[in-house]
Amino acid sequence: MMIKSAYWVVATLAILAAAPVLADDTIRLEKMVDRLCSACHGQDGNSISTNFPKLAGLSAKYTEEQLRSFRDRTRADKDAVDAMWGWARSLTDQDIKEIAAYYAAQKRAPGDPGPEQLMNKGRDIYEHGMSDKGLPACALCHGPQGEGKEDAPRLAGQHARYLTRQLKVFRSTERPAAVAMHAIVTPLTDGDIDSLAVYLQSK
Amino acid sequence: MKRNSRCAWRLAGALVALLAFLPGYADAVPAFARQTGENCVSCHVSFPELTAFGRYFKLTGYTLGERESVPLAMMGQVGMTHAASQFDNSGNEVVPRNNALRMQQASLFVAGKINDYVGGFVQMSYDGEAHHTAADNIDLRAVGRTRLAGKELIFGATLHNNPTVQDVWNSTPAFGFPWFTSAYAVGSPVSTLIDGGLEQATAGIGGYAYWNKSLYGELTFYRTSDGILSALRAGNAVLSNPGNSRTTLKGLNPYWRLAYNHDWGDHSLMVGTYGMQVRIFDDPLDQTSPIKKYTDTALDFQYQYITDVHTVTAQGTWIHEKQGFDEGLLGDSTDPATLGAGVPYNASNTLNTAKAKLTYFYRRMYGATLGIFSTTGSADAGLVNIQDANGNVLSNVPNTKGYILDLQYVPVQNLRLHLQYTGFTQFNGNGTNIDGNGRNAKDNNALFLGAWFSY
Repeated sequence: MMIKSAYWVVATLAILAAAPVLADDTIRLEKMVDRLCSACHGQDGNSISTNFPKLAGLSAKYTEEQLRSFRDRTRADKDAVDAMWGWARSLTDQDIKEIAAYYAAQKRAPGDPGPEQLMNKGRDIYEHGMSDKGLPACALCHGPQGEGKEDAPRLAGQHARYLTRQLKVFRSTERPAAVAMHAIVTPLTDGDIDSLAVYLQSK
Repeated sequence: MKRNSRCAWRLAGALVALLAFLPGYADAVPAFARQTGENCVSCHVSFPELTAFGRYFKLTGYTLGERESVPLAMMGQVGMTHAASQFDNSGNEVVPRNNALRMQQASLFVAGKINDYVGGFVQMSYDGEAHHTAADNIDLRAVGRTRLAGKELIFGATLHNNPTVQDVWNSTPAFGFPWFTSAYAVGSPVSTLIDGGLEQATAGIGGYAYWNKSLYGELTFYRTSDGILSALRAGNAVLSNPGNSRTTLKGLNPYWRLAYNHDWGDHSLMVGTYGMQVRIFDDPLDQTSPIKKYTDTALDFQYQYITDVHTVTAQGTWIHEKQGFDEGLLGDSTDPATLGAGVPYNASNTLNTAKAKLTYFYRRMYGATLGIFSTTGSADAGLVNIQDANGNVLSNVPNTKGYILDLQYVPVQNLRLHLQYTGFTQFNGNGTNIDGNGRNAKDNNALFLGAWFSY
C-alpha cells in the first residue's frame, strides 16, 4: 500500500514537474505559429486570401520538404521568393518538424465551388487523366478525393488561384524538387489547369 | 544651372547608378524588409500603403523577423513642379521653384525590433528647402499576444509624435493619400487639427488591442512633448518660429479609434471611427494664456483587393471639427484692419474635411490613383475675407475642393516614379476670382514629376 501510494506520489510529482516543460513547448509552438505563420496562413491553416495557400491537412512530410526548400532557397517560384525565403531562413530543423506537424493536424475547410462546366471538366481530368495525351489520373498520386498521400500533397479545398499558379510554375524549373510534376503538366493547357483548380477548390 | 538643382541632378544620377548595381530584388530592401527577409510587396501595396500582413507587422510592434545588427534605412524624394500660374495678377510669386528639379526631402530611419516585444521606428528628415534636419514620424511600441475566445488578441502600447501615425489603415491622415506631392505647389489653405496640425508637435501615449484580425480599439492621450519627451519634436518649429519652440497642450488630450475589419478571399474591408479633443495654449510659453479647443470626430473606410496581378484599393475619411476660442483670442470685428488677418471673430467655428481615393496597380508596377478632397467651414471674416477691388465681399469661407490624378511606375521595388496633377475647382470659397484680383482656382493647379527612392 505504501509502495503504491509512493508510486502515485512520485508519478504525480513527475507530471507536475514536467507540466511547465510541456506547457512551455505548447506555448512555444503556439507563439511560433502566431509569429511566423498565422498572419498569412491562418491559425488553423485555412488561409483567407488566395495569395497564401492553405496548410491545414497537408502531410507533415510534404510541409517539412517545402519549408526546407524555402530555407535552402532551392524552391524559387515567385511566391517562395517574395514571401517564404525570409520567414524560413531562421527555422531550425526542429522548428520545421513542429510547424509541419501542427498544420498536418489541422482540418482543411472546403473552398467555394465554381462554374459547373469547369468543375465537371476538372473532375474528369482528375479522376481519369487524358489518355490521348499520356496524362495519368491525378488521383493515382493525390488520392481519389484529393486528400493527398505522404509524398503527394493534399489538393482538396486548396485555393484555385494558388493551384493554378503552381501548376504553371511546374512548366519552369523554379521548383526542381517536383520532378514528377514537370512532365505531368506538359500536356495541360491553361484551360485544363483552370478547370482542375476550380474542381479541387470545391472539394 | 543653380547650385541646388545641380545637387539634385547629381544625387538623382548617383541613386539610379546605385540601384542598377544593387543585388537581386530579394536582398536589396529597407530596414523592415531586411529584418523579415520579405520583399516590399509583402507589407505594402506600394509604400507606404499597407497590406493585411503589413498591418499585422505594425500592430505587432515591428517585431516579426530577426533583429538587424544595423537597423538603418534611408529614403529620398526628388521632384519638379510645374504650376498652372506661378505668379498672381499683381506679379507676386505664388509657387516658388517652379520648373526646377529639387531634392524635397531625405530621411534616415532607425527601425525594427529590439526584442520580440519591443520595436518601432524613428525617422529623421532633411528638408531640402529649409536645409534643416528634424525629427519626423516616430512610433515606438511594446506589444503582447494572447488568445481570447480561442482567437488571437494582439495588444500593445505606443509612444509616438503625430496623431494617427500609429494607425494601420491608410484612411487616417498621417499615412493617408497623397503620400508624395509637391513641396512648392499650392495646397489646401486650411485643414482640421487631426489632419497634420500636430505632427511632430506632441507626444502621444496610448494602448490598443486587435482581436481576431477584426475588432480594433485604441485610446491614446496627447500631451506637450517637453522634458524627456522633447526628443519627439527635436529640431521642429525652430526656424519658422524661433520664439516658440513647441506647441503646448493643456493636460492630457484624448484620442480614440475603433475599427471593424473583415477579410474574405483576396478582399478586405474596414469601417471605423476616430477622433480627438485637444486644448492648446495660445502662448506656448504661458500656461495661463487663452486656450484654443478642437474636437475632431471622423468616420473612415478602407477597401483592398490584392492579388499578384491586379490590385484595387480605396480609402475615404470624413472629419468634422468643432473649434472653440477663449474670448482673449477673438479679433475686433469693428476694426477693418483685422479682416482676414487670421484671427477669428467667432468664438466657435466648424470645419469639415472629406477625402477619398481609388487606386489600381497592375503587377504592383504600373499604378494610377484618383483622389478627391473637400474642406468646408464656417464663415468668419476674421479668418477669410476676400474682397474685390470695389470692396465687395467675395468670400468669408475657407471652402476648397479639388482632385488629384497620380500615375505611378515602380521599375524596381526601391523606386517609385510619379506623374501627378492636382486640380482645384474651388479655393477659399470661390472657383473664380479667389483672391479678389482675378486669380482663379484652376490657376493653383500643378503638374508634379517626382521620384521616391528608398534603401
